[in-house]
Amino acid sequence: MQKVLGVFVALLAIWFLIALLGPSGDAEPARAWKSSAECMDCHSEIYAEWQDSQHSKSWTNPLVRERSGDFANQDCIDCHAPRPVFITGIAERVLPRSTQRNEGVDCLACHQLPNHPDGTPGGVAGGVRNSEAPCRPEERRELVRPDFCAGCHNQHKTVDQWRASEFATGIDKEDCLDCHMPWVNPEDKATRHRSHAFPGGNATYMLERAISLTGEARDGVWYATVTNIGAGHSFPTDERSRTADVFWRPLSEDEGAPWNHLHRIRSPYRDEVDVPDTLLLSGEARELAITSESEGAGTAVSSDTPIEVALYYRRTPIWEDLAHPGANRGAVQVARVELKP
Amino acid sequence: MNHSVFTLAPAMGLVAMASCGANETPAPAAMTFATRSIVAPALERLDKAIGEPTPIPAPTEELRDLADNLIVFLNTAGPGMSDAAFDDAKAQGDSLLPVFAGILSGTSNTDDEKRAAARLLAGVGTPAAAQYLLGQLESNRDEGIRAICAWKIGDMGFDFVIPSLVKRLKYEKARSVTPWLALSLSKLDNFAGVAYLITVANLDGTDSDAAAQLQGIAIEAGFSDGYALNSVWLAGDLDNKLPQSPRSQRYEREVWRLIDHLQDFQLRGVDDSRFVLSSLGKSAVPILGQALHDESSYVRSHVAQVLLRMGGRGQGAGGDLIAGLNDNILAPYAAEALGAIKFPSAESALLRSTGVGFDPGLRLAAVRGLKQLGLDSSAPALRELLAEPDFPELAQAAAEALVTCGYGDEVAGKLLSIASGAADSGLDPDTSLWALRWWVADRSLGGDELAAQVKNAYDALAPIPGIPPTTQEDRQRRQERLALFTKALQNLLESDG
Repeated sequence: MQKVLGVFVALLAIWFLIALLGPSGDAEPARAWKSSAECMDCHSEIYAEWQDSQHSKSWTNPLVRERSGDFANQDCIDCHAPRPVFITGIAERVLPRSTQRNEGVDCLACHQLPNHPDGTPGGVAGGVRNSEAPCRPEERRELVRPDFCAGCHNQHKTVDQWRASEFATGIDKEDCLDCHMPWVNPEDKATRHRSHAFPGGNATYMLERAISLTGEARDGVWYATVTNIGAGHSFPTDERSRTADVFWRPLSEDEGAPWNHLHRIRSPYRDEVDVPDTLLLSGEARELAITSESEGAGTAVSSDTPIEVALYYRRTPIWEDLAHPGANRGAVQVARVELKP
Repeated sequence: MNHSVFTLAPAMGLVAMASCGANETPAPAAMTFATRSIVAPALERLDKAIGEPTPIPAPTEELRDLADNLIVFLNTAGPGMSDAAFDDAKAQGDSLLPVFAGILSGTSNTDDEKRAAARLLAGVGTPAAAQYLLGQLESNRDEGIRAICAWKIGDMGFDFVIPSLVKRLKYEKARSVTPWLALSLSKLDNFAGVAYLITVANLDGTDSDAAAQLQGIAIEAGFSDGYALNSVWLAGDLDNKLPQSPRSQRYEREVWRLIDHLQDFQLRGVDDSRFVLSSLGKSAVPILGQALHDESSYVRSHVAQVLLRMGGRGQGAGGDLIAGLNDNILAPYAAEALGAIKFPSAESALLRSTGVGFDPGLRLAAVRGLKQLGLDSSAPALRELLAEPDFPELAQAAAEALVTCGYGDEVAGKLLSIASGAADSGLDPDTSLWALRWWVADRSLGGDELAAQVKNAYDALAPIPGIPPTTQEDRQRRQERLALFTKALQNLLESDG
C-alpha cells in the first residue's frame, strides 16, 4: 500500500512540475474541427466567398449530380468530397471522405492538419501562425503552392499544363493563386485575404480574360483566330465535359438567325477514341478557316460576306440546339467579333 | 502563467483512476493494424513463376505467304475443310501472330480477309494469341473484327483475359460486340457481362441475337433464364450455384496488376481498376483480402471500395475488413464495405464502431454499413444515435438506417423534418428523401397502394436523363418531393402498410 501511495505522490509531483514549468496557454491542444460551418463565426467574409464558390457546391451542384448519377458513380467522390490534403499528402491523390460530403471541397479539405501521433487533433493550417485565434492556425506555406491543388486539379493535367506554360516558366510568373485566389482588400492589412470564391470557368469575366477572338480576310476568304491569352493552362481545362465551340453566321439584323458550327475545343472522354484532343494550350493561337461546315469541311466563306464569329463556353459537351448556341442551357458567349469586307 | 486544462489532465486522470473502480465505459482501444508490402512481392513471385514471354521474331516472307494462303483457303474452303487451315495455323504457333495482326490493322486487305485473319489468330490458340486478340479488341476500329475477337477469345480457355474483357465491357459501345464479350466471359465462368446482355436484349427485343445468347448462357450455367442467373451473380452466389473453375497464376497476376494500379496518381487507371476488380468473381476475393493489409493506403482504401461494389461476392474478405476497422485510413471504407457485402458477423463490429470516441468518419460509415445490413437487431443502437446532440449527420444516417432495418414508419416524420430543415442544418436533404422513397417503395411491394402512388409521383418528378437541371429546378423538385411526403405522411402512417 505504501508503494502505491509512493508512486501516486511521485506522479503528482511530476504533474505539478509540468503544470508549473510546462508550456502555457497556446500549447493547448487544437480542437477537432468537423465542419466548415464552424469556421463561419470568425471568418464570415471568407466563408461567404467559399459558399459562392464551386468548391462548396462540388457535392450539390445539379450538373455534377446528374453527371455522376447522384454519385452512384462513386469514382467521383474522391475529388468532390475529399479528405484533407494535408492528410493524404501534398501533390498526392486525394481520397474520399465519409462525413460532411454535402460541404464538397470544404475548409477542412485544405486547412485541416493530420492528427498528432498520439491521436490528438493536429489543428489547422493557415497563411500565418496565430496563437491567439481560437483555431490557432499554423503557418504552412504549402497552401500556396500549385502542388497543393494538384491532388484534384492535376487529374486532368491542369497543373502540368501550367508547368509547361509561360505562366510557370516565364519572367513574370503567375501561379494558381494569382488568378484563382486573388487578393481581396489588398491595401487593408486588417482585412486583406486571398479570395476563397475561386473564380474560374464559372465566372464569365475569367473566361473573357482567357480568350481573344480576331479575324481577317485573306485570299478572298475569312479566317478567325482564337488565342488563349490569359489562362495559365489549356482552355478549357480540367473536366472533359467542359467545351468551347466556335460558331459563325452571316451578319444580319436577325438575332435568331442560325449559327454554323466551326470548331470544337475540348478534351475527349476516355471512351471517345475517335475524338481528337483540341484543348487550346496556354498562349496558343489557332487560326480557323471559316467554312460552310464544321472543322474545315465544306466550302470556304467568301470575305465579301459580312459575318460574325463567336466562341461559346459550356460545361457539358452536348448541344441541344447547335444552330442557336446561346439558347442552350448554361452556354456563355465568351467572345464575338464582326468581320466586314 | 496561463496553465491549460490539458496540463491538468494527467493529475485529473490519476485522481479519477484512484477514485473510480473498473466500471468506467472503456475508451476505444488503441488502433492497431499491421501493414506490410504485399502487392510488390506478389507480383514479383508471379512474374518469376510465369516467366518472360518468348519474343516473336519478325515475320519472314515465307510466313507472310503462308498467312495469305491460309486466309484464302479459309475463305474458299467448303464446309468441314476449314479445320485444316486452323491446324496449319496452330502448327506454326506464335510466329504467325504478327502477320495476322498486321493484316487486321492494315488497309490493304478486304473485310473478308481481315475476318479470316482474326479467326486464324484465335486458332493459333496460345496465350500470346490471346494477348493479340485483346490488342485487337482494344484498338481495331472495325466492330466486325472486334466482335470476332470477342467471340473467339472465350473459346481459347485462358482465364487471364477476364480482366481485359471486363474492361472492354466498360468501354465497348458497339452492340454487335458486347454480347460476344459477355458470352466469352461466361465461358470463363465470369458473369459480369450478363447485365449488359440483358440491357442489349431489352433494347433489341426478345427475338434478337442478344436475347438468344442470354438464354444460352443461362442454360449453360444451369439457370432457367438470364435474369435468374444475373440475380445470383449480383447477390454473391452465396450457395455456390455458379460454375467456378480454378484460376491460373496468369489470372492471379492480372488481378495483382490491377490492384497495383490502385496506387496510380491518375484516377483514370484507378477507376478502371476499381471497375474491373469489382466485376470479378469470388476467386479474386482472397487476393483482395490480402491486399487490404498492404502498406499503401491507396491500395487498402480502394480495395475496400472494390469489395463494397462486389456486394455478396466479397464476403470472403469479411474478416480482413473487420480487422481493417482498426486502421485509421481504411476504417470508414471497411465499415461501409462490411455492410455492402452483408458479412454475417459484421453487425457487432459495426455497432461498436458507432460508439462515442471513435473517429466521426468511422462512426458515420459504420451506421451506413448497418443501413446496408438492414438487420432488425441493429435498431435499438440506431435509435440511441437519433439523439446524438453534436453530430446531426450521424443522427440523420441512423434514421435512414432504421428505414432499411424495417422501422420506416417510426422515423418517416423525422426524415421529413431533417430533409425540410437540411438547408439550415448543413445536412444533405437528398439522402433523407431517398430513404423516404425506399420506405414507400418497400411498402408498395407489400401491396400498400397509397405508398405505390407516392413512389410513382416521386419518380415522375425525376429530371429528364441527359439534361442537367438548373439549381432552381433542382430546388423546386426537392420542394415538390417534400410536399408530396408531407401531404401523404399522415395517411401513410395511418394505413396498414
